[in-house]
Amino acid sequence: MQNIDMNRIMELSATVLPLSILLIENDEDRQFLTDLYLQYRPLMYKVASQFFSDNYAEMEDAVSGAVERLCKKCETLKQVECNKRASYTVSTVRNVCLTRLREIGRQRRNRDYATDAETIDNVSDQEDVQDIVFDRVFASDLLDAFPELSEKDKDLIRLRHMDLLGYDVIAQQVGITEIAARTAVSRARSKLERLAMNKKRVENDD
Amino acid sequence: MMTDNRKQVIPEDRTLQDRAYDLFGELLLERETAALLAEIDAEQARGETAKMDAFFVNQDVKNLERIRRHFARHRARVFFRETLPRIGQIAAIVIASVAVAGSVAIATSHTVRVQVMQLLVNIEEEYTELKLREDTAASFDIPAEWGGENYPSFIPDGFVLGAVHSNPGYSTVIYTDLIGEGRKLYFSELGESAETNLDTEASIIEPIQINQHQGTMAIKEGKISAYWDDGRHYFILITEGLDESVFLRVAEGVIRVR
Repeated sequence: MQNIDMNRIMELSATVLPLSILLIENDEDRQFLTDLYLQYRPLMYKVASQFFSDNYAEMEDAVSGAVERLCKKCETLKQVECNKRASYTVSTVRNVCLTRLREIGRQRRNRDYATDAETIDNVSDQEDVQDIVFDRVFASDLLDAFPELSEKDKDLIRLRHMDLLGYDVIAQQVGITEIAARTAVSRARSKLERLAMNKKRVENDD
Repeated sequence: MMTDNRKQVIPEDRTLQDRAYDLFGELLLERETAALLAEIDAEQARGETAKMDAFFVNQDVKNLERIRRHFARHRARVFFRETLPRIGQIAAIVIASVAVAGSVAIATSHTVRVQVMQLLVNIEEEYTELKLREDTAASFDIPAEWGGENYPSFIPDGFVLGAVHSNPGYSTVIYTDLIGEGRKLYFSELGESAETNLDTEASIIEPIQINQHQGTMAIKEGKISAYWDDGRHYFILITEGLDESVFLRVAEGVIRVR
């Protein structure tokens, strides 16, 4: 006895005329995204948990939102070198989380950005100093010094230079004025450079 | 990698200093990603993945479905925006070819003519003359691949043949109305070796009579289904977007063609 599924026939028919042509395109993309998701889902989970700790509902939305974004960026993703796809995924999840945090108007980890930022409003423009410092300090030295920054400064640098947010968005994100955000980021960078230079000096002395 | 992606989002207000730091940000992202991956590996090695596994119990199904839906939608968009116009161009070329090839091209179409015969009765004083003559108005074409013994003699205007599935024991034909509002018509003839299920959940069920055979009609949200039998086969007719009277006309028009 043959068992015929009418629904299946109807589903098939939806693709009948348009049809086999439709089936050819995108199956490869779908498989690519499925594989990528299965490979990096623990990473997505980790990043989402950094933002929303044990709030499963928010974490679910973040991961789902990131999946949607990755689907939309499938073509770009396919061109990204294999060893960089993990970073791309992290960047995507971070962006989704940050957007969500702005939506719900919550300040991340309740750090008191405002107080510090306002107190340094009058700090002189450090751009010139930084220009000099950046020439002397290698990126790897900055990377090595980065863990020594306070969590607040790390966040500011991440928001500005990892997530590439504008100062207006950073201000909204952390709940301070745009000018204060600009000053706070500048100050965080200066601290990082000082830490890196000190580290380098100690190494040279040794 | 990220460079292309990041270029697109770099706002205009970024100074050179910013851009130098953006490169640093790229390296930082890679380093933090590597750290996270190492952390995940370590947790997996220690077997501390219960929380994450619980999280993904439901999430995996939803997200994989999300990916499937995204590409299904994408396919539809590509079809209607790109492929369909191209098919239109190809169709125009085909029509032009047919016009050049004339009757030869038309004669090669894969349909079979079903002659519907009329019985002509001529009563004379001494005898009654009986003969069959083709009712040309009632005759119709069916797809040559059709494997069933019965076929709808009436198909509403605007429908085009979508597909024919002919298998030993059951045959299905699908008509579509791509230009209109996505109306569809499915007709199946099934034999004793075929078993099927029909979605009648939450439908309005009505008994009907098709060509003196008892049948059943199910109506649900713009979809009408009917099934009946002739003692040798059973038939299923399903439509989306057709009104009930036209649907019944199609059902009553199912006649023996072989």
